Amino acid sequence: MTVAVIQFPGSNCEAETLDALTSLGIPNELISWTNDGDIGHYSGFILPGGFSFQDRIRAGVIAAKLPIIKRLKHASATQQIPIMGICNGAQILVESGLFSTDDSMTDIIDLNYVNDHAIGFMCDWGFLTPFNAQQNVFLRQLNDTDVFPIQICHAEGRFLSKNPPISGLRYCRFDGKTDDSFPITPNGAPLGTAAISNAAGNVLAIMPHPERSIIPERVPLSIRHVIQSYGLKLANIQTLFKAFSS
Amino acid sequence: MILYTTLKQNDLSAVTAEQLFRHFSDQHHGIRRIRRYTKYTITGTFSSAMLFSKISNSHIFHNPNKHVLITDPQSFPLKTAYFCVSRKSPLNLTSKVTAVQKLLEKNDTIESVFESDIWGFDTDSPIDPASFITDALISSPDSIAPFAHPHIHDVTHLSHDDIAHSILQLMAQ
Repeated sequence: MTVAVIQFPGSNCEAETLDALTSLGIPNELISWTNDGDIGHYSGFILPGGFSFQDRIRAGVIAAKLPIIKRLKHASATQQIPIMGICNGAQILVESGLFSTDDSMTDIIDLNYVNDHAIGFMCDWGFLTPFNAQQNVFLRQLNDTDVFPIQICHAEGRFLSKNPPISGLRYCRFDGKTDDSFPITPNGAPLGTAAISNAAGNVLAIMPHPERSIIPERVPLSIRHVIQSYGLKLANIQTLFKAFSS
Repeated sequence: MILYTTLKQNDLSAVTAEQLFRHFSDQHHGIRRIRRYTKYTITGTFSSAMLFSKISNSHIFHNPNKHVLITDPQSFPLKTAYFCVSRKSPLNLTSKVTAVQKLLEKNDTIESVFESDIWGFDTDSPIDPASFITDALISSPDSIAPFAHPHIHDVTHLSHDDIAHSILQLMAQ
């Protein structure tokens, strides 16, 4: 069962995403946004990070309107295929209306805005913890008390939703305590939301980068010192990808 | 004070939007060409004439290599339909506020700089603004419209007169 990683003009994280899947023993294939063949045989999809269509008009909106996304939405609705959108991939999925709970667009990922300032692009490491983990296929190997470090790298990562998400990930301190103020939540996202699930639980839009964070040696020394000093038992971020191999 | 800028070269966001309608939608809405302008609304206590003169000589709102700081209403073609996409909760561009404040005299102050997009549509035939906003501008799960997200944006139709009036008012000061 093969996972398809969809490449758009301007995607730049597809190689890392493919490498992450390969390192976890998950068969994978890179497909183009122009693919008009059958996609029903793939066991899952990842939309990788980057700047599809240069973020023209709004990050992810152009890619979200393309035929391949329509077909992805159909596969999601009819087969509940696992779909993960990472960073720009998350923006594309949100702009496609996959998370909408009615006929209108109920969710958007807006630009980073903290204390009345647009803070621009940020690249750092932080911690995430799940909420209602059992309600999403990518999170159900985790408990709501789990914590893991992850790389954050975006200028537009602030989830805004008409309704609170049913499941997802939140920014937290190293000890798992959630805090929606800066710097724990680095982008001003209400409730410290870092990832959201759709209602059916088969789609996850995650703004930080799990594909960059699965190799323990990539975790910065400063974070590893915190982990060691406090004797923290952190969750294994690799479990996020287990949905693709089950 | 209201300023308008536009790109000297083809606006790639507008070009991409045209291609989206042309190649990936059954409904073109008669769109032949899309244009994009940026509108800045500056509030505070200052002389508009003085500030405009200083802004014209600065790079705060326009890079002269790339942008036109619009001073002539003819930059907005007459037969184009214009729509302003603005944020429901405007975000104050604090870096621009700081930059503009440095241009001002001692007793003058800048309170806010807000940015919005103006999209212009050249169409085969006259459009009904209200239905055009719903069908071609506001994003929804089932439409190809990309310009405005209903959760954070408002869309208003602007007549050419509205735009021309604000430009001429600024130039007259």
